[in-house]
Amino acid sequence: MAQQASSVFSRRQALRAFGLTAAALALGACGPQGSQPAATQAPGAAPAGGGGKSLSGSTVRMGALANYKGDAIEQMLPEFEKSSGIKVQLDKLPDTNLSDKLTVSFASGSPDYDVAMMDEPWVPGLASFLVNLDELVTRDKVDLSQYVPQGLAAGQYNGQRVALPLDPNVMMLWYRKDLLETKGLKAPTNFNEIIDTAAKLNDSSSGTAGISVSAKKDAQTSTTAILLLWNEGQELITPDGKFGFDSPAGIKALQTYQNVIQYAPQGVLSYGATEELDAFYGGKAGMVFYWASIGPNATDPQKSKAADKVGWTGVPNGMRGVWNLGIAQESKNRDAAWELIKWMTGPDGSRLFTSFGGGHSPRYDVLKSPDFQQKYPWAGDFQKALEASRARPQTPNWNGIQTVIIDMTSAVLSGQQSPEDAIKRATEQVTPYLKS
Amino acid sequence: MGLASVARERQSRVGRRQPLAERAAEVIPFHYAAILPALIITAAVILGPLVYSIGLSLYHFVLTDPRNVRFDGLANYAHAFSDPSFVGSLQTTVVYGVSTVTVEFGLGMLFALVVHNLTSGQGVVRTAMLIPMFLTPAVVAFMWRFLLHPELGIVDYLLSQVGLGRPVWLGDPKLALLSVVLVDIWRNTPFVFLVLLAGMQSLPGELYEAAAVDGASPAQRFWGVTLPLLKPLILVALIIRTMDAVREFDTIFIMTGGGPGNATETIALATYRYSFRNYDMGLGSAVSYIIFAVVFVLSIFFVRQMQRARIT
Repeated sequence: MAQQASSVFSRRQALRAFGLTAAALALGACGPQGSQPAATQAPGAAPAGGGGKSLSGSTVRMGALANYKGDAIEQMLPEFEKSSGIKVQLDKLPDTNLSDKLTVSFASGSPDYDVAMMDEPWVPGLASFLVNLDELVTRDKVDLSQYVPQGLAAGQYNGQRVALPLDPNVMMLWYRKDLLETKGLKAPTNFNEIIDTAAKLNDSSSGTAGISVSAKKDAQTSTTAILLLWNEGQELITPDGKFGFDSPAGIKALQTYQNVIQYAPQGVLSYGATEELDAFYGGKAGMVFYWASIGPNATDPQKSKAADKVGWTGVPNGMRGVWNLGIAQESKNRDAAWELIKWMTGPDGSRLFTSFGGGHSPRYDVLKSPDFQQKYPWAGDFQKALEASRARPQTPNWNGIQTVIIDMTSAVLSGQQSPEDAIKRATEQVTPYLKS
Repeated sequence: MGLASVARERQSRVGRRQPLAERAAEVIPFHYAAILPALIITAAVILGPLVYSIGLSLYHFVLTDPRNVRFDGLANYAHAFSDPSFVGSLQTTVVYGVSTVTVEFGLGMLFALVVHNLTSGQGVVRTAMLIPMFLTPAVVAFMWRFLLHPELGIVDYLLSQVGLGRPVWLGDPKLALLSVVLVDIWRNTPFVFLVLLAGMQSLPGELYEAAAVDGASPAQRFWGVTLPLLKPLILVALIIRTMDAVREFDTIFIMTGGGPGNATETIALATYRYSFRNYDMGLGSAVSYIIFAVVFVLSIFFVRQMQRARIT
């Protein structure tokens, strides 16, 4: 009997222990993890302006994008490893996975990487987990005047420099010179002219549409909607924190988008970024307004049907999108990580990155070099477009805002909702993301 | 046994130097000890995250905005039900679930009856029917996205040849939902077919002979013998398919991404949107618990039906 009682008691004890563990877990869940920024760690003992040698033998982990950009980084790294003695462990991940991995691991306080490659909209969300680079820039006398200001701005958040630009991108107009010439048209110089030209180029009898755009539920669709809103002279988030589409300009922008898809290929409602580009490369559309990074493909005869007839021009208020490099606050190899970033965004690294086809350079010394201008014939237009570009609002809730814009635009273009109704609903959905 | 030895034994049982394992064996019966490791792992892997996410669902916690984490009570649940896109996704899930499961059940039963009564070639038909089940859902989704492409897809090519134009299957709100429903039916009818066929083939022949002697028509045999005896298996097939429909994600995500607008967004896609597009972990957890409640109620309904089927 006594033994029975002892057994029951011990079971109770076990249950109590289990309950306590569960409660502890629940309390843990309630704690705002990662809400406190890590204390700023003083830069390491590496000598100023070239700690590479003293850091020889250390290893830096880097998370990069798994596409031609990541491939170019992989190709350029041996040069850095040879000159610095620092080993780089490169992990290449697709866009969304990279964003997820950086966000989750940085927020949990145990970052998977010392150096993170980040798209511009990710920077505000990751900023509180990144090292402030201003001190290092000053210490090592990094010449910031060599960078295009719009490129540098992408890595600044709340007055702090948390990243340096690796690969700036800007939206430009890519068009078929032959088709424009046939119709006696000149290359458009602003958005209104692009829309007019699309209407004139559109030729259903020959099967060539005026312009290729995205219209399905896709990030590219929201990008075009934002460009059209800017074209109406409206900000996406107004100075008093309101949703820019909730205005007559917003309604006009979506109506213009409805109008533009009339000049696009027949299946445009199922077009995302891939289909949009395929239509242009395949000769089904006379123009496409897209990121400058498509230049090499658009002018490659292997990938584009009329490669030798492709022209380009920048227009004011094109959207900018910059890939940046930053250092995790919790990194144990900050100095080696800084050496890597300094080199990759410096003249030698940037020259190698562009020569391996990774993308464009944020640096004037590279942009103006004959090698770069030969490899990227649109270099001059690119630089001008970048200098006249516009950025998406800097907010940690960008993903939430963008999702609402995607849904809103897709609902309007597919005929599910009128611009007025879609905007009303989107405004309700987006408000929580504008508040915090 | 002498007093001395009893004392020694007692001493050894209560002695301070008794090994931990022995003491544990005394207080925890062996059968509990045996399941303890599995219990601990289960608690860590299932209960831990479950409890954690209950906590999360009560917080405003956007992963990319760590400075604005705060206790919000039931605000996330209120937000979910006041968000038209979430309510819309609940409706879409009901339409998607009811239409796919109903048609799959009807077709599965029809095919099973036909194949069951085939005198030859049953093996070939059965194998051919299984092909869609062998394909990875993501591959199926990409394949159909391509087949339904308005410019490159064979479906629109054939339709245009007979003068029916080139509908934009995945870009038109009504056609998009129909498309993902049809693909689900194409992919999952074989499962229902297989379960029902296996059930039919295990039914005792004597009952049919007795029914035939009594002069029952084929329709009467189906309604009076086949259907009642198959009821437990029908319920198993319906439970599995309904649960699958509620948590359907991959095919729709690849084919339409939930669009156009929110036309094909089921609750699983809405949860993904909240948690992994917007990184709103609080709202995402709250929505997960709402899905959990839906699945829980459905499970109770089906389990009760199964118990009744067994009793009768």
